[in-house]
Amino acid sequence: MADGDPVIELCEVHKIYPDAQRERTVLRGINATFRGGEFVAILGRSGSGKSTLLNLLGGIDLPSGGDIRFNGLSISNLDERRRTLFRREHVGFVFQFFNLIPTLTVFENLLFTLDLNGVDRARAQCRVEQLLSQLGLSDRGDSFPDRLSGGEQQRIAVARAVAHRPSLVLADEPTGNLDRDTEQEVLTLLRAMPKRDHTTVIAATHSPEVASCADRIVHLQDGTLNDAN
Amino acid sequence: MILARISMRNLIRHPWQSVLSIVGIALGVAVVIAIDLTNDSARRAFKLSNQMVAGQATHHIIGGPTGLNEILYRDLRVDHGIRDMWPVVEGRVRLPDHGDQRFSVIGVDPFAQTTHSAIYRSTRDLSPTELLSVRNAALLAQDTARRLGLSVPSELRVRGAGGRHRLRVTATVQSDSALEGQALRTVVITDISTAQVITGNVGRLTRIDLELTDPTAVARVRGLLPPDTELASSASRGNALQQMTRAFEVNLTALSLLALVVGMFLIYNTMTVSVLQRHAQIATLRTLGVGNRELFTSVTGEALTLGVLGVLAGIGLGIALSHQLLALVAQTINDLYFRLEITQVSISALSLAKGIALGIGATVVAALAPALEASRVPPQITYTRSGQETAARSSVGRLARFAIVPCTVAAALLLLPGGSLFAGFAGLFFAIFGFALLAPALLLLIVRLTHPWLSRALGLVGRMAGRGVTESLSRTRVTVAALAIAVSATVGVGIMITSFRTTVEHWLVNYLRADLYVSAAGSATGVDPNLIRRVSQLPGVKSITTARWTKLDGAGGRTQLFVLDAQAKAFENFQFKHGNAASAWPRFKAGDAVIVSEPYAYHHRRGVRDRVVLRTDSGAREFEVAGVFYDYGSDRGVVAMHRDTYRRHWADPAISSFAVYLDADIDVDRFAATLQDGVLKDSELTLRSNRQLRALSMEIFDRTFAVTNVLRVLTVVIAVIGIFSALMSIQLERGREFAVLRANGFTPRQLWALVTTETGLLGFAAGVLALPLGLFLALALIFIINRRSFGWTMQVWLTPEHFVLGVTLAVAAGLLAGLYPALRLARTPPSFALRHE
Repeated sequence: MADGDPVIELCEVHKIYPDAQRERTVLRGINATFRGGEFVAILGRSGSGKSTLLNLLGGIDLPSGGDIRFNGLSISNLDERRRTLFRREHVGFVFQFFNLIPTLTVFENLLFTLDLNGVDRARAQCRVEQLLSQLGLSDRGDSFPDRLSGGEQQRIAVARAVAHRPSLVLADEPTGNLDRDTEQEVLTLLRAMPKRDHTTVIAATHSPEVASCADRIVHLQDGTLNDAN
Repeated sequence: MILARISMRNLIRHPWQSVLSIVGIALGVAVVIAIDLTNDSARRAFKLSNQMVAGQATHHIIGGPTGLNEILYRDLRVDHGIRDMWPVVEGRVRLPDHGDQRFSVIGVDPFAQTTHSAIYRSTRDLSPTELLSVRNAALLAQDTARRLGLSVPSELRVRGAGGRHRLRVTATVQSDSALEGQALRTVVITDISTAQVITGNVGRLTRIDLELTDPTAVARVRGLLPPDTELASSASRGNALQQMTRAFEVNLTALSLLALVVGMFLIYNTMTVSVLQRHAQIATLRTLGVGNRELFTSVTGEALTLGVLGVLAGIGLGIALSHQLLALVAQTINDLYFRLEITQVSISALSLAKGIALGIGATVVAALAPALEASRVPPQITYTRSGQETAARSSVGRLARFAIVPCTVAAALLLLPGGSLFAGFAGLFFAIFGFALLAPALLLLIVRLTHPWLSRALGLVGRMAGRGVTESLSRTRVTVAALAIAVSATVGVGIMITSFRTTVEHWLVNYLRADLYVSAAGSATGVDPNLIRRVSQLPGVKSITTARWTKLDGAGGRTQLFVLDAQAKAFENFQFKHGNAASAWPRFKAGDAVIVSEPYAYHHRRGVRDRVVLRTDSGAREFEVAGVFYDYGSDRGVVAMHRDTYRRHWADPAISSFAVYLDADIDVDRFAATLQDGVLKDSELTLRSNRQLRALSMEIFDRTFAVTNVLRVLTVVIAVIGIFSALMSIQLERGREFAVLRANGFTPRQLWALVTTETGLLGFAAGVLALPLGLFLALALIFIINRRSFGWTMQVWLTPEHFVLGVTLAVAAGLLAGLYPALRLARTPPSFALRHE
């Protein structure tokens, strides 16, 4: 996949949650295209549907209407197992609260997605060592996550998201839990690491700093997605 | 795979939870293995003791209450040329010089030359004259002689139904195996005639064993037998005898399975709490692309690791426990069924395999629900605990409604007429399952009812404790259900034992109306009629009733016969379930009618006016049933007949015991002392007062339930371990929440009060829930399981102590489980707890 080619396309995507009293429409007919290698920031208020949109893009949830295509493949029509395999192979996630596996060391956390994708052990270890070196955390490979600072944890989380070279990285408030200095470090990584593999990054955020790093900013408001430009 | 590493590290990170689960499953498996090994050892000992004399015998010729006339053996051997057979005389003796130990005496024919019997084989190196050349010669196993400190030759004094005798130990024999050695441990071998004299059976044989492989030979022997004898196949006779202990074994097995079920709840509890605690982590794994099947396998694998470790520990514990239980089970078999020497646990691979399979199987079954729960966790980018609790609360009604299904199955299995014992136990387990589904709804109800009271008593802490239970419903519901089930088991079994005990006590009061009871040690020649006559002539004696206890063996099993020489007044001591004393008495006294005990009627499906067939001296004969009486002395049942009837059909004048009724003004203790020092002096008879006999009966009763009580205690221990582990982990999980409370001004004391109040409340709820289930279990055990096992009617006796004990136990388990987390959390600085979340 080359930079600029459409990676993910949304066509009239709706998301409606059934509520006790009435249905709650979160996304109203979204049409959008995200291209290879671009960094897109989705801005919007709390409850505007940013996380819902990321869930749909990652195949975690299904749209109530419309279609989502990933490299031409409709992920809306995939069953649960295939969507799991889709996420495993093509998507990387960065969470607000890092969500590293507490019972795995830093090295093993990075190895995790490679192991899931069946990458052979020697290549996987080589890749992890390379990532740790890029992060400047080679000496922390044997540490468990609870021994790391918040910034270090999020840097590891970014590395985990790109370790298996996915086409798409979805980040939900990736710097929401960090101070300003650490935020910059993480953003630098989030911008640099995927770029090498032409990975598309879509980040849901409130942060102007994140937005300022993005190639493109879109606003999610009243269930519709509008380009900032 | 890296997922396996996550699982293993999770187990290691919660060492207390893991270790307590392993201990719980180990104890459950240990109980199952111990009971199975014990039952199996008893079965093997029985088989071995049977084979010791009978060896490869295919058939036995058996006679009436006094055995067989020895002439029959001579006739068959000499006149009819039947060679593959050997005579057997068996009886019991005591060794007065060796602590009055009980031994079996077995008489063998040194010329029979069979090698198929252990007893005969053990003597193969001896010449026939070894037993015949010396008068009263006896052989002992080498180990036995060593244990008794006897050398060869030496004297051995024995006391049997035929009186006191001095035997001469002329040689020792060696057994071929350890098991054979066990069978020979308490055996004295003599020649036939010496055994006949010692056992008071001169001229009689206990039976003749034969090896008949050809059907025509079987038919031929059968054709040669007189009418008072029967040719029974070894298999049918052995099975019939072993059937006697079947219900006892099944009940022990069921109780041991109950311990395993509680162990299963423990695994279920641990895994459920563990999965719930890791919901957020599992959601992350799902998001990163871990499939639901992989998660299912991973959680099952974790449980299996605990299960395998538990099973491995359980095997060792089970073997150790079986050594402790063996003596208790052996005592019960000897008290209630037949004499059996069991001193050694036979470690059977099958028993171990059954324990392993049950342990692993139980673990897998218990882990299914939490594994499914894990596999259904949706992938989520942002995770909230409240969703989990909302789901738990919304499932309460659904679970309660679904409880109808197992409860209906339970009702069908328990109430449908003609149901088997197995169906009864299956019904109990379904009922327990149904209750577990209802437990969350009942827990919410109890918390709602206690909430105002707790608020008034403890203020803010009380309000928070109540809310803590309902806000953690996803965790607390499982724990409370598990504790309630374990406590209900102890309440139910406790009520059942008390009810049974009280019923037997009341029955004994009505049944044992005579003042004194005199019985003979053996049952062959029994009590001398002249002695009875002398006692009856003593001043103060109002009347005497004699009794003969004997058994009729046949292919269809053993019939216990109780022959009574009583007047109409003494007959009224029987309490009739069907029929009555007034209508039964004339037919019982003069009309060849018998009365049968309740268990006999149940096992043989006989009622009033039905007929029972007994083998008399003149062949099989039908006797009318004139009544069914309550009797708790034998679980296989008794046929009672008048001595006049007995005399008409069996040439057996022996009397086993007699009861003495005294005038009202006689001092019973003084009369007993006079009788013992006078008429009974130098006799081998045992004199017991009514009170002593009742006390002895209750002692035997209590011994019978000793195993049950051990299992009951073990079940509670397993439950307490499980609850301790679950409640502790629930509280420790809330470290951050408690740290926030501390940061906002909660004192360590308040925190301590909050945690212990919450765990105490959970214990209390479990205790209260256990009461109706315990009562239900007791009623099912009394009216269904006991009926299907033994056929007894029991009265239900409810005493408050079982209920109080149940609630106290549960509250204590809850408080105990809260202590450690309360202390730890109260001592942890809030900043530390907040930082480490």
